[in-house]
Order: sequence, then C-alpha cells, then structure tokens
Amino acid sequence: MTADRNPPFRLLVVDDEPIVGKRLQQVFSKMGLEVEVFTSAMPALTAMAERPFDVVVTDLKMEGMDGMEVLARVKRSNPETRVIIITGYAEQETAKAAFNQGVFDFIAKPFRLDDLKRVIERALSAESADEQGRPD
Amino acid sequence: MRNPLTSKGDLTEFWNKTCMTHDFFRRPGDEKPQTKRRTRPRAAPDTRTGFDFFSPKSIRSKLIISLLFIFFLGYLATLLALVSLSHMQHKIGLIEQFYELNQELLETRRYEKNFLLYGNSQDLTSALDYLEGVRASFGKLRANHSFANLDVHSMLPEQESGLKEYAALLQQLTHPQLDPKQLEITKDNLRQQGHDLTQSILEMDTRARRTIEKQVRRYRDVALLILVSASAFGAVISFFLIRWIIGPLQSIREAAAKIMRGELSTIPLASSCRSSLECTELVDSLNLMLDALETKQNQLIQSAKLAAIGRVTAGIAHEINNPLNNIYLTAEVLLEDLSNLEAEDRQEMVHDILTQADRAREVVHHLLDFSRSRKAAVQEEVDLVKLLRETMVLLRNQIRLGQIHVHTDLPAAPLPVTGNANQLQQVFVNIILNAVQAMDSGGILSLQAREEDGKALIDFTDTGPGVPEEIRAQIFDPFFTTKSDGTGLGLSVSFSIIRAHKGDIVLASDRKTGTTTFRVILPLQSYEGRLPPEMAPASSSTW
Repeated sequence: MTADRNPPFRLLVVDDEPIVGKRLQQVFSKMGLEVEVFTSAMPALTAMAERPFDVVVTDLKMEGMDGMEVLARVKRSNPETRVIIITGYAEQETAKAAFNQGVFDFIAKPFRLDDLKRVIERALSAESADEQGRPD
Repeated sequence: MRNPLTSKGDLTEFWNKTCMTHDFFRRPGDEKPQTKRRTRPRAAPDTRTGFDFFSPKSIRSKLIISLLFIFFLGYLATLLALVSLSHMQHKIGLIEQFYELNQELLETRRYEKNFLLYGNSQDLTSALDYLEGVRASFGKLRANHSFANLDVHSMLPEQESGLKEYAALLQQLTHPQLDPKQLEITKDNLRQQGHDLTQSILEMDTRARRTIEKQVRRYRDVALLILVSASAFGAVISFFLIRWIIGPLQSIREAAAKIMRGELSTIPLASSCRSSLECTELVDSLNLMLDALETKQNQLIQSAKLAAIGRVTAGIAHEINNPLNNIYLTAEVLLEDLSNLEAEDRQEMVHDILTQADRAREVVHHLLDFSRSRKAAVQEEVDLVKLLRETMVLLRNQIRLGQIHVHTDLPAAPLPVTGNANQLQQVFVNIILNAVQAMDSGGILSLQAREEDGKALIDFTDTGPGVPEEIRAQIFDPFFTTKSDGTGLGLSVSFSIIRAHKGDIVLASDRKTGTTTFRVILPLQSYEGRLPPEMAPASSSTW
C-alpha cells in the first residue's frame, strides 16, 4: 500500500460517532498512516492548521460545524488535502454541492471498511502522483 | 382503592362518553367501540318495501291530515255560506212578495175609500181588480216554500177567509138595488173588514220580517262560530305542526352543536324525533355522514402522520445508518484482527456492536410505535412527561441535524392525562418538527411542561422567525401551509386531536425575545382519578 513511506501519510477523521474514529484509527494506524481522530470539527481544524493532513475523512452532519463547512475550510487553507465525506443520509443535492466544492469522494453510511480503504488508497495514490509530478 | 376508570371497559366507556366522543378520530380499520352507538337499526330509505305514505309517524302524513282538516273546515264554511245565501235570497223574495201584497191591498183600500167617499161605482170595479192582485199575491205566498216554513203561515187561512168576506162585501156593493140602510151597514162592514185585513197582513208582515231577521242573525252567529272554531283549530294545528316539524329539527340542531363541542359523537334520536319518520331518517343520514366524516378524519390524521414521518426521514436515516455503520466497522475490524486483539479489546468491541444494535433497534421501535395506527378509541393514562421524552428520542437526530439546541424543563413528577398516547405524540412531533423547520439555520428549542390549575401546560418555544400576524388565524386551518413541500395537515390535525382531548393549542409570539411558543393545554387527570404507579396500565410501559 502507498502508506509505506517516510514520513507517513497523515489521515484526519472527524465524526461525532466516537466508534468511527476509534475503528478507523485502529485500522489505518496499523496500515502505517498517522491518524488523528476528532468528534467535532473545531478542534480538528485547529489540528489541521498546525500541520496539514493528506486526507481528511469527515462526517457531514455534526453539531457545531458540519462536513460541508469543514470541506470548504480545508480547501481554502490547504487545497492539496483530499477530503472524503461520509454521511448517514446522502441527498443528491448535498453530494452535488460537495463535488462542486472539490470533495474527493462522498460515501454513504453504512459503508464497508474495504470501500473506505479503497477510496483512501486512491486519494493517497493521487497525492503521491501529484507529489511525483510536481516539479522540484 | 381502584378508581372507577381503571378497568379497560370502564375506560373505553368513559372515553366514548367524554373525551373521544371523537371516535371522530377512530381510524378506518379500527373496530367500533363497544358501546352501542346506534339505538335503532338504520333505515335505508331506498330498500324499504313500500313507503308508508300515510304513516301517522311521518311529517308528510301529519301535514296532509292537517291540511285536509283545514280544507274540510273551509269547505264546510263555504257550504254553510252558500246555504245561508240561498236562504237569504228566498227571504228577500218573500219580503218582496209581502211588499207586493201590501201594495195591492193598499190600492184596493184606496179605491174602497174613494168609493165610500164619492160612491163612484167605477172605484168599486178598480178595487175589485186590485183585490184580484191581492188574491194572486196570496196564491204566490202559499206557493212559496220559505213562507210555508214561517210560523205566520198559520195566519193565511184566516186572512184568506177575511179576504173572501171582503171580496163578497165589495161584490154586494156593486148591486145598485140595495136599500140605503142595508148599504150603510155593508159599507161599515166593508170598512171594518178592510181594516182588519190590513191589520192582519201588516202583522203577518211584521212578524215574518222579525222571524227573517232572527234567522239572518242565526246565520251570522253560525258563521262567527265557524270563524272562531277555525281560528282555534288553526292555532292548535299550527302549534302541533310546529312541534312536529320544528321540534325534531331543533333537537338535531342542538345535537349538532353538542357534536361541535365534542360532547356527542352521533346525533341521538330525541323523543321529539322518534315520532317522525322523516326525522329518524334525517338523523340516520346525518349519523351516516358523521361516520363518513370520521373515517375521512381518520384518514387525514394518518396522512398527516405519514407526512410527519416523511419529514423525519433524514433524522431516522442517520439514526439507523450511524449505528449500522458502527456495527460494520467494529465487526470488520474484529474479523480482521481477531487473533491480534487483546481479550479486553475484543470484549469492548463486541459490547460496542451490541450497544449500536440496541440503538438502531430503539429507533426502529420508536418509529414503528409512532407510525402504527393504533386504535384511536383506545385511551389510557398517558404521562405527558414521559411521552415528551420519548418524542425527543424519536426526533433527537432530526433536531441535531438542524443544528438545534434543546432546553428541556420537564417536571420530575408525571403529568397524567387521559388520552391516546399515539395521537398526542403525533401532536408533539408536529409542533417540534415545525419548530425545527422554522429554525433552518439553527436555534434553540425550549421544551417546558408544568402543571397549573389542574391542567398540563406544555410550551414549545423556538427562536425561529415567528409566525407573521396575518397568517396566525389560518395556521390551524386544514391544508394551510407556507412550505412548498408541506401538506398543511400537521397543525390542523394536531389541533383537532388536542380539541378531542378537551385541550387547546395556543400560539404566542414574543417580538422582544424573538421567540414563538406553541402552548398545548391538556386537562390533567384529577388527583383522585390518578392511578397509583403500580396500577398504571401496562400499555404505557411499551414505550
């Protein structure tokens, strides 16, 4: 997997369901990613401001700030970061709006772990491709 | 210790009698309440064999009989008038004949006097001529039936003999060879006889006139009697007709008013109504209509409920998909790493799976409980506090998704009302969802319940834009909505449900604080009527 690199890829997970963060941390840490987990958007954005992440997985509907807002802010501050939105209730319009704002993918809950893994892998390989293609 | 309303049968009866006279809110599939609502079988007018046209119970026959009676009275009066008129005509004819007789006699007497004064025999001949006229008049009188009926009729033979005598005397005087002495005697006799005759006829005339006048008065009296009795009969008939026709209508009108106040569910067959076929039919038809309306109302409530469920789809989807997702993730991680995980971690993960499964189950349970069309007529003791908490669980995620903070201020003690939990919850769901929708960019929903003067007051306050003054009167109207995707049923159905529970919904907007409050007021069960906690009906524990 593309995760074997130094420094490791950084993954941020924001979901107000604590179990999501817990499990994703378990899975992706084991895969060699550096994973940070938050249950609300504000501290996650603070963490992002300190050091950018390669991939952000965010829930859409959260108290305080929702996933669309997270997406917008990430794209503003760090356009390179791939944002993946996961949501319990996917409306076509929300998905369309998210793609317009540059979301990498939009996944409806419940999803299988493999699906998410594949999307994150794709995001990371795109990231590496960008990096490789980038002139020094 | 058991209070009278604890047994199910009692409750049902109580409910039917008082609150949910609205079985108005029974759903189409529900069985009829046990209390017999109709005391007599419904008459289906079109299937009845042979309409009893003159049934004494029908308004129609009563009208016909009354009109026939009035017609008969009128006919009688007219007939009597005609008979009287024809009698009068005869009497007038009689009076004319008397007049004629008088005239003839007076002429005769005039010539008699002339003869007596001047001794002209020509006058005697004229007198005799006129006497013929008198005799003819007598003949006419004799032939007159009306005259035959008068008591003066008995005077006629005497007068005729008087007349004959008078004629004989006149005849004697025509003989010129009478000696002067004899002549004088005869003249005296003639004078006397003439005078007697005139007197007798005058007397007959007077007596006859008097008799006729008496008869005329009698006719007038009879006519007056008919008039008075017709008026009296008219008054009596009018009185009864009004009672027969207006009485039942009045009873129906009163029943309709009671139905509107929720004191009755069907129009009872009042005693004033039972005596009239049309009225019983009308009551039956109206009750059929009420039944149909009730069915429609139930369908409306169910539609409104489905619409409300439609509005919570997003929340429900979240509420089910999130735990499902958690279960997937946990199970997959568990499967992948089963051998590497510590026993403690495995235990925790299995525990997570169970908790999340419970969570999903709870949501489905609440949703089903809400959407299930429970028997509307079922009424039980409902703790509003508990019901509000459960409603908040059902809508928890919808509220969370709307970025809405909830402040709840619910009493620790229960607020028991008698009613239908399912329908009351529908009301709470409608009001809360409206509040959530009103605050589309987030806000605060305050939920406060308290007891005041034997009533439960539940305030749902939101910080949305409020209800504009100009539509406030309409918001409880059916199909009135300001939302493009609204049905306009939520509040109207809520209102009718609360009214059926003898409560009220009041809307208050506070411009200063920018809040809108829907206050639901429901009568609490009286303290004496409250069940001890251990005797609370089992049905409420299904929540």
